[in-house]
Amino acid sequence: MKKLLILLLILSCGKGINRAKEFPFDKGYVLLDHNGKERNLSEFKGKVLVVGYIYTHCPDICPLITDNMRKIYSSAAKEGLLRKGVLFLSITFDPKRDRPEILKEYRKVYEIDTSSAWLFMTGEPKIIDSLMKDLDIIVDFGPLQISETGDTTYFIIHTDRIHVVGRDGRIKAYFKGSEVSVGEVLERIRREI
Amino acid sequence: MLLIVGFIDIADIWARPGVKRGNSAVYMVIRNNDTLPDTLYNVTSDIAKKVEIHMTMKREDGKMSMHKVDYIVIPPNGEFKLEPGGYHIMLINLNKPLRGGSKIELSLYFSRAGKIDITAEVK
Repeated sequence: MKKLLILLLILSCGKGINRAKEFPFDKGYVLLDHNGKERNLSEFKGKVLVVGYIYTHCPDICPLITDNMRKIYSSAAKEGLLRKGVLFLSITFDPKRDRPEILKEYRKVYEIDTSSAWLFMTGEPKIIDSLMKDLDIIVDFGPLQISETGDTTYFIIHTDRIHVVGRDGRIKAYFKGSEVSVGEVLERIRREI
Repeated sequence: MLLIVGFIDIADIWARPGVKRGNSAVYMVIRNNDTLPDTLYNVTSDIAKKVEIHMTMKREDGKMSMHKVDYIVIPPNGEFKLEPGGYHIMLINLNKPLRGGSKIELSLYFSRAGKIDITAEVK
């Protein structure tokens, strides 16, 4: 009986490791890119995706995630990986503030080149909320803060994450976006090509 | 660049890029060369509607949160680092976009050293 339990435990662990979670390509999510163009996530299926989750009003952690993605993107471009079907996505979880024009401005201030191999995405709040839940990205909106001049702002407690999605549509690797090693992500991308 | 004002040295001053009406963060290393502690209790700048001292917390569940702090203490003959993922000067509601290479002015207020004006390069 004890041996049977151990065997079952080993089998269940193996299943968990081998069955990576699916990226929700086929759930009909239609987002907007930084140019305001509608994008169904299904159009990216079959590519190797590097996906980061951010909000542009985040002063400390999301810039680290974006900066790390920029380093990964730059190295991937130098290595010619972008020509092999690798696409970068930065998806905001603050869609009310992060409209396409804000995402476009964010790309400018972060000096991200205008190539289409890195899209910044937003969408309707309900859609983004559902997408984040599917992806296990936790988003807790903080209280509204009102300044002496009447301006309002809020901050968000969130998961710090970069995903690498394989051509088979499954999430192959999870990284802590603000602390990730560029080399580690590149190695994972190479394995998925 | 190292800024020396009395017994306070400030080095590695820089700011994050940011969109107009968005936020940014300023980082630096503050060294106190005196035998008594000093306290940074206020920061002002015309670049943003509001300036605060904040601390980012990395929680065990993988979530990142941020809290305002009222002051930071720079120990005697020691230093305090404001760095990504930790303490930072938070610029809330920027009056204009901050692009790489531009410079912004801030004033730091210490309880003993008084007001120190600094310049941070955006990068």
